[in-house]
Amino acid sequence: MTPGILHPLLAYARLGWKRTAGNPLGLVGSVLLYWLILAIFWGLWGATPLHELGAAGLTEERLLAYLAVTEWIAFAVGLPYREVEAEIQDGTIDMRLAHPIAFGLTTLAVWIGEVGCRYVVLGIAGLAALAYAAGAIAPSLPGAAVLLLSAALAMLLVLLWHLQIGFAAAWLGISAPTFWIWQKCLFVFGGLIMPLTIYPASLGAIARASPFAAMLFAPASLMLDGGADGAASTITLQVTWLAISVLAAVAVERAALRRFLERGT
Amino acid sequence: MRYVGSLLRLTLQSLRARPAAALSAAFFMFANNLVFFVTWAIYFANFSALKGWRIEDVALLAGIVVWAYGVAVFFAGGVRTLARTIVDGGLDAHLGRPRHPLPSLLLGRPIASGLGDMASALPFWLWLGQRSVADLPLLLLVATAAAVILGSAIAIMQCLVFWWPRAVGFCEHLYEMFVMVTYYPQHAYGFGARVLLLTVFPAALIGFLPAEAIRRHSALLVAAVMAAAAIYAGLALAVFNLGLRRYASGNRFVDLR
Repeated sequence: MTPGILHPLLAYARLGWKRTAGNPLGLVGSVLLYWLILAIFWGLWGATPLHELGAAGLTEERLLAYLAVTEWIAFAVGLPYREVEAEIQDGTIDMRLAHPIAFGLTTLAVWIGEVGCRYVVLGIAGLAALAYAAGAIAPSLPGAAVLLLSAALAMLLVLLWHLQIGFAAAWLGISAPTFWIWQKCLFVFGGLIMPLTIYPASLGAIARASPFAAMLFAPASLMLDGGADGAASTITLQVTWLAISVLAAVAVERAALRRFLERGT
Repeated sequence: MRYVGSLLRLTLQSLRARPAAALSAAFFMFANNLVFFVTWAIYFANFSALKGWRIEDVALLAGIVVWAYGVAVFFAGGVRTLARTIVDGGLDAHLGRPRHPLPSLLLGRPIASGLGDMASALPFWLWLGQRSVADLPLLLLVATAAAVILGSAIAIMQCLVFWWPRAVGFCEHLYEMFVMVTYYPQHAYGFGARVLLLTVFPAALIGFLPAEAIRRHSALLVAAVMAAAAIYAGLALAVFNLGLRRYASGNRFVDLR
């Protein structure tokens, strides 16, 4: 990537960061929502007969820490696909397509700035919630570094999928239904609430082979085994899916652009 | 009532404008609800019960919540965007009409996916919840009452912008929190949280209490749900009227043409 492209992209990312940081009420809402979901599951895990899991060794605290990471990723990303969907629906995407830098790149840059801001705020909020509810559950220092990297990769991966889902409006006129199904697949196959290790064997195997595991389970599972042990395999899995997702996003954007050129927006 | 009937007819007619989009939204929401329930199936594959509740009970609750949500957003879809409408000055167009503005505000914008929500209630109740067809009338009664509570509670939250115009995004977060809490069984929480969820933040009145009414075959609980629906509907109307006194936009009268 040349400096001629990198500088504007950094400016877009800063714009995204400022847009999110400039809406403190929105950030407060996200934090409250995040804490609420943690509180709900703290209550549910407290009422769950965890001893029935047998040798899995999952405690209430570990499950809460796992959930804190999956929800951190989900809440930090938000619902950015709606922007692409709205731009396609109202035709304003035309103006963006005339820019010298690809629509997907500039959109991703803004999103990365926005998500970066929520990554920091919600990360601190999650840590505070864990310290309050579960005491010292944080991984070791190397483990924490891997967790931060893995969560960032996961968010980037999710953003790439949001971009593609947004483009679904080019064909369907609306992206929301595609998103609902994708999101629920993310929740189930990604292991949003429960780690894939306690899924029935066949479902667990399917989930692990899907890209969704790299988005939620891979980073969150670092909270189950204390951190750096499975770091290399976790990051490798995520980078692999990231490369595949980049290719898919480029292909989907090109196909959408072809459609816009042929049929208009 | 004739006015409300006419608005509902218009609501249904508006879906005919784009039937394919409406049907696909409904279908995807139907699938969406069932896919999400897989999480509970996995939970109960690992654990025998959640404080006495089994998977059938959670399915019963999920069915009531999706029915309530579907009815609320399909028949009163305007409630979802009430805060934005107020802040944008969109109330003006409704204030110029000879009737109270609330019915036209709420009933004018059906969200087609609500049909999918309503349809998915049936497999939740009859298949996953193992309820009989004979239970349906009572289920529909309490779930529709829950829809009134849900719609009213959302309307109250959205009215916050009458006093705090910059809180549109916050209202959206409040709404999301509310819907999220309704979907989980609340008997697992502490006493204080449950009191809160039965009063100020009435999520337990939408899913948990109606589900308990059916589980226990309790006429008293059914009556409590019905009474709560009437109280929250009245409260929503009162809060909206109170907020309306503060409303002074006047920038959208052009829409009346």
